[in-house]
Order: sequence, then structure tokens, then C-alpha cells
Amino acid sequence: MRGFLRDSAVVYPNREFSFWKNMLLSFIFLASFSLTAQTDWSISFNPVIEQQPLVLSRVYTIKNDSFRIETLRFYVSNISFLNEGKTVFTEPASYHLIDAQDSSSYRVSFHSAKKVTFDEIRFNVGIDSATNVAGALGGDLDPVKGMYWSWQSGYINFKLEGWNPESTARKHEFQYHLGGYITPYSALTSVQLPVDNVKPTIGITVQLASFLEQLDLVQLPAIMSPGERAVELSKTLPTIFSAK
Amino acid sequence: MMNRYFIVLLAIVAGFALMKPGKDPVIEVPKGWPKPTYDFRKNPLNEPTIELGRQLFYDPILSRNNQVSCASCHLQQTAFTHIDHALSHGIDDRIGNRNSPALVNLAWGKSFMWDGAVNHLDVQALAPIENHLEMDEKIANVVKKLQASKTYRTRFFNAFGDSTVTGEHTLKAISQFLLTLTSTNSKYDKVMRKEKGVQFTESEQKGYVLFKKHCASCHTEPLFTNNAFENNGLIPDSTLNDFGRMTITHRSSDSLKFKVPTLRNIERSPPYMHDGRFRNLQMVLFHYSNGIHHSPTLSPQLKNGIALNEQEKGSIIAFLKTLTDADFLANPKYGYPR
Repeated sequence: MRGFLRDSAVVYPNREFSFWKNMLLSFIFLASFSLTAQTDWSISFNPVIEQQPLVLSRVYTIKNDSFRIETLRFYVSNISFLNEGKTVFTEPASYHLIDAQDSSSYRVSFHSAKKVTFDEIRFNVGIDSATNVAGALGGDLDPVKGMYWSWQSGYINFKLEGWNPESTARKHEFQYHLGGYITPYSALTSVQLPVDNVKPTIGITVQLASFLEQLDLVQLPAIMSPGERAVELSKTLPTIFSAK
Repeated sequence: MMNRYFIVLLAIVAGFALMKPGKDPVIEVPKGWPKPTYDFRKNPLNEPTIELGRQLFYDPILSRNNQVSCASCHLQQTAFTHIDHALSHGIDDRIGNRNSPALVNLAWGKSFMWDGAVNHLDVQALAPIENHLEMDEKIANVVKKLQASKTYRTRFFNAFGDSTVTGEHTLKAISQFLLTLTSTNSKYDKVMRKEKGVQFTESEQKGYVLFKKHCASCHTEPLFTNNAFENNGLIPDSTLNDFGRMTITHRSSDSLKFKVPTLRNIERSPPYMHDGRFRNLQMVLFHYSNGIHHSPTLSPQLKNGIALNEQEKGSIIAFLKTLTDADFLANPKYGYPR
């Protein structure tokens, strides 16, 4: 790629002066930009339960109710940044597995060749339908990640497993595997958050307490297949995200 | 140095540009056949990967106790299905819920499994690997076991240029082997190609005419399936309560519908139907002539059954036997790796 650029940058001797002048001007122009611009920035997902950061297997108490979370894993995909409603940056091949077992997965970094100013971030929670029918994929989309249904093709968008004394399931556990891409049971949801791009890292809070409140642990302690119930519960997912 | 990279890049771009979708050096698409569904550009076939896929297909390492391989239920000599068992059995002698399908011409498949639960050939192998009645293993653990094997690390390197085993590469290698399982050389194919000295007998010819009239709307030539889901009037088995396609789509209009299976090598792949309820082809034809069970989703073509006398049934069976492809069933490239 770089070789290609070099080959095409043909220098004409009679224009040498103007060429160097242009180069100098371009350099000053770019340098002045880079002083204030952010071409490298990141977002960081911070799962919390009320005010406390999530620690797996720890017992939390919300309104006299005890919870333990054993698994939290979800896909964030198709991340884009907007400024005044216009898309200014779209991450290519944007699929990220956020896994509470691996806090390094919480941070997603971006690089842009030119400066971007934005006031909004958009992303999907889950995997789009085209990717759901694309066969075996690698990286965060590799089926070894435990986010792919083997018996019925498709990704699990959001997985939360844990324990609560009210749960009517075995050992008072609960399991929510939310996914599904076939109409009318598409569980993909999208999130739009106003953000401030002054800081190089944008913190995104994932408030699990708001999700836990939606659950009916007596009637429905587990959802593990696509369908109406998965769609209903997935619709609440965008509300658990907020940007600092 | 830069120029060399550029030339390599150009070669790759040119390579992609020249490759036509669905056309591949290893799989030959016979004249008059539809374009394969499989997108070979995303997983271009090559010998080391096909060979790795064959090793994996025949290796019980894919199962929890290292005893069950794909070939346990998909034997080459029996058209890559499990004969003599109505319901195929898996690990620890557990009995499955369905009759294992024949593996053939999968590059043309639009969905997989009797209910179409699997949407792409690459992810098909996940289902038997993780099903607790079949191999009862986890793909992540399969990858771990393969990574621990020096032989497999070398094979993965030869196939993908990377000795790190991944789920993606494991599945794509299995796909490559499965894609090579093409059956295009039965007597039927030779007659269609007007090969010298190959002709239908009188009975086969009569059977072919009857077949085209009564069966071909679903078992469409040349693949002998329309890849659709149909209710062919089987009375539901109350010990299984298998509603087929509806389990996947949740639509009542899909109740009791199952994938139309190909009829290639049908002579060699008894028993028949998703639950293997018919031991032989005579029983299958008796079902279509006399045994149709009426329910709201029954295929309209079968509303009145198919009126056939015994002689006509015999002719249809004679024709079906022309779909047996001896070359396919004995091809050493498909057999146990040596």
C-alpha cells in the first residue's frame, strides 16, 4: 500500500519549488491539527451494580435482595461516532466481545487518520443478521467464545448468569442467553448515547441493576433460545448503558 | 521491498477479481446444475485443508470421550448416513432424536438438519459436537485437544499457515472435506449426459416418467431436493413429538414440516424419513399411495395421496436405484485417512 503511494507521488522538476512549499504548508497544517486533535481514543465499558463495580461471584444486595453474577458476556458491534447527527467515524469490522472474566475486553480503542470531533456514539448490542449467517468466523466471533448456539445457528447477543434465592430454577440459578436474528424474533438492539470527546477515554456505565430489576426469576428464571421472550427482554438492554 | 509487497497485493487483488463466485478448481459443477450456494471465496478449497478436514471427520477426538467421530453416523459405504438404526445413536449408547441424513452435494445446501436449524455448512459440525446425545463435547475443548497434538499443529500450519488451532479453522477445514463429497456419476447422470452405451431399462424409464410426474416437484432434479421444508403426511410419532421446522421458526404454518432430503444414493441409505420409520423403499411408496395423514400443513400435492399400482411403484424404485453412485460410495478420497 505504501509502495503504491510512493510510486504515484511523481515529482516534476519545474514544479519543485511549489512542491516543497506545499509540503511545508501541509506539514504546518497537519501539525496545527494534531496539537488539538484526537486521532486515538477509546471507550471503556464499566459493568456496575448500583454504585459498585461488578466482581463475579460476589454477593450484592439490592433492596434487601441478594444477587450473585457468575457470567456476563455481551457483544458490542457496529460502533460509530457522530457529530451533530452526522456520522464522522465508523469502525470497520466492528465486533467486540465484552467479557467480565477478562477486564481487558472492557476497553475498545479507535484510530483515525484524521481528527474527529463527535458528540454521540452509536453501537449495537449483539450481532447483525448478515454476520449470523456468515458461517465460521474468527477472533471475538469464534464459536469457541461460548456465544454461539450449536443446536440452532446464531449468536448469543447478551449472556447473564447468576444466583438469586428467588429463582425457581435448580440451585436458585438464573440464565439469560439473549439472541436471535430471524424476523420477527430479532433480538439485536441499538444504543445511542451523547458523549463528550474531550477525554481520550469515554467511560460507558453498564448498569446491571436496571437489567436485574426487569427479570421475573419466579416465572422465568431462564431464557436460552430465540423467541418472543428473548426479544422482550432484549428491548430493555439499551437502557442499561450510559456515558459519563 | 515495498514494490514486492505491492506486487503481492496486486496478485491477491487480481486473484480475487478472477475468481468467479461458486466456481472452484476442486469442485466441478456438472453442466446444467445450479450454482453452488456455498461461497468458496470465503473458504477457498485447497488440498492440505481438505485433508485436515478429512482427518477431523474421521477422528473421535471431536467427542467428549474420544470415541465418537462424524463417521460413526456418516459412513461412506452407506452414502454417509447411519443405516440399520431408525434413530442414530451417539456417545455412551445414547439414542438421538432423528435419523442421520446422508451427506452429499452439500455445496448446494441452503440450510442443514431436518429442521434447517443450521444456517451455514461451516457451523453444521458444531451441532453434533455439542449435542449431549451425539458427541457431548464443547468446541472450545476440541480446539484445546487439537492444540495439544503436535500432528494437528503441523496439519493446521499446512492448511492455514498458522499452527494455532481456532474454532474457525477447525470448522472451515471440516467444511472443505464435506464440500468435496459430490455425487454426480450415477447411472442417472450418465443417461442424462447421453454417455455411450448407458441407457435406462424399460422399467427405469417408466419409473423416471412417473417420478417426474409425481415426485419431482419436491425432489427436484438434478439435486433431487428443492431444499424446502414440507409436510409429507407422516402421522406424528407421540414418543418423539417432533414438530420439525416449527421448532426453529415458531410459526404454526411450519408445523410437521421437514427438509426434503435428496434421493441420491437412496438405495444405500435406509431407513427413511426424519425418524427412520420406513425400513425400505416399498414402505416409502406405500406411505405415499395409502398412508398420507391429513393435517393443516400437509403439502397440497399430497392431498389425495399418489395413486400408483404395484407395477408403477416397482418402476419408480427401479428408477431410484439409478441414483446410486458407485464411484462416490467407493471413492478413496472420501474414505478413512491412511
